[in-house]
Amino acid sequence: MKNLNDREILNHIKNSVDQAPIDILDNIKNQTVVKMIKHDDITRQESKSSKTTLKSIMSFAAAAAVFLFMFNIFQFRLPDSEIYIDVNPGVQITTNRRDDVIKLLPINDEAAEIVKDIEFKGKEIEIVTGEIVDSLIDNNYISEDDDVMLLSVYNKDLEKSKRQVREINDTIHKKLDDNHKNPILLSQSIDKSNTVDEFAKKYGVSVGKMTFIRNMIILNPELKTEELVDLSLSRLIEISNDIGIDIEKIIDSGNDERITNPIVEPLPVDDDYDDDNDDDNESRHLIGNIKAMEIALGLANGKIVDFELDEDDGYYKYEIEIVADGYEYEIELDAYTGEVLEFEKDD
Amino acid sequence: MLLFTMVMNDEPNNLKQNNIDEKLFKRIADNDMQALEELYHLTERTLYAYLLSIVKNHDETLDIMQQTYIKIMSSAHLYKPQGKPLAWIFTIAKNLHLSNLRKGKKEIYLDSDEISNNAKFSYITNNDDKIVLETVLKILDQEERKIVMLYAVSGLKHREIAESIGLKLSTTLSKYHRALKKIRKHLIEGGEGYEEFK
Repeated sequence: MKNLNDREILNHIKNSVDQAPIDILDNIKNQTVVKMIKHDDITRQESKSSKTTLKSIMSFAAAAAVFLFMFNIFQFRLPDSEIYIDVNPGVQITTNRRDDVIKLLPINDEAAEIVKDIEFKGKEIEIVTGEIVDSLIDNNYISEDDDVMLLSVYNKDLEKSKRQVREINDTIHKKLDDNHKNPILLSQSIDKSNTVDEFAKKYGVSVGKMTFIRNMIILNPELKTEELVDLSLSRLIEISNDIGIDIEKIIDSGNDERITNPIVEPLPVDDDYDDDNDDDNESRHLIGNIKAMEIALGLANGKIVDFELDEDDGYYKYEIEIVADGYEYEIELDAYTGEVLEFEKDD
Repeated sequence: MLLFTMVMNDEPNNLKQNNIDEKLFKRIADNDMQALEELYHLTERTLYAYLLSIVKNHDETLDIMQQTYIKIMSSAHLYKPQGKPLAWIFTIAKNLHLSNLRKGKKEIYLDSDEISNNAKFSYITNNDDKIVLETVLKILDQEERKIVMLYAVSGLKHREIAESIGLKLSTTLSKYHRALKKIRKHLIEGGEGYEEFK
């Protein structure tokens, strides 16, 4: 079949559905309807947020002491945040709503060694983090100044995950200062996606490190996951610096000047795309992925969710979609001049 | 500011979805048939697209649609406005489908997975339309189908789709793009489905 573009595909779907014979309105209107006394399992409205759910559990619980007790246990056991600390050993820490540790999971063999003597059950996250850092230092994973630590926190509640990043970051800094160590400490509050989870599992790295790699790839799609996953964090940062990725865009380094020194280098020109056919453009150069992303992020500072170089009759343009502050931006750039061809905000 | 935390910001909850005025439910509760018709016309194709992406069968989709609207009529007086009317309609439709599955009602539509049975979409006159729909139903997973079908049919924005099917905007968008890539690739390579309709 011919090569369809997205718009055409969507149109075909719409046409198909529009043609479907749906002739049920009269049937519905002729039904004798019995009004329900209360919602059943079918019509129950999903609660607005987890807070409402907890509140409703609570009001039930207030009625019976047993319930209250159960709820407490429930609350202590329920995972709330996931915290990842990567040096090269990677550990995953799960905490409950009270920020007590309920699970400590080594991601790789090196990490198993690090955590094997750590008692974590029911201890506060700060204490456990401190013990992990001690153990990392004892095992010589943090010795050189250019060792890199990556702290990642996931919580459904963005505010909470930011707060935890801050607090755990402070804990780690303090511990490192006490031991006169000065590695580069990067921190991020992360989003959850099945793909990142899957890849993390597949390659045996933490979700935190995988998120970092994913973000590198978003900023430079020529990077390959397989080539990055086995590299150490310091190597990943070297690579990012070498190819001109602005690390501050994907991670918080706490303005560590070892990271944030602006790298002013000519942007790599990426002309792989126009060497097969078109003659007109042979002499012209594409502005390159990185430049295109910079222009796009200049228009909408958010997360690039789609990035494509599109060819239409020998004419190249970058199509970029960015999500920022809950809005979706569609941006099209002339691939040779960087001129903004389209800038749409979707609300 | 971290680049990728920005998308986690909470979305405003007061979006109009498919322009359904939540007051319609109140009127339906008062047996206002015109309100029911309004709701029906606003949501007919959207609900069809949603259900078709779940059950992949025209007749079964119609059956559940009908049950859904009837269920709305019998429970509209219980509806609490939360700014997500479409999400509620979808929830009812999905629950009805699950409940049908549990009751074994599925047997009526024996071959709902057999997409190759082209009699099922025989009402689609344009061959390309049919091939694309078949491709969507055949190669995408359920979430991808919902996202692509709703986007194509409903006129909803990605963020509204995300809200109504309970996914994050960023997840919805990346699934949407992956799904369209899959479709394009499949159409170019000409999967088995293609030969049958040539």
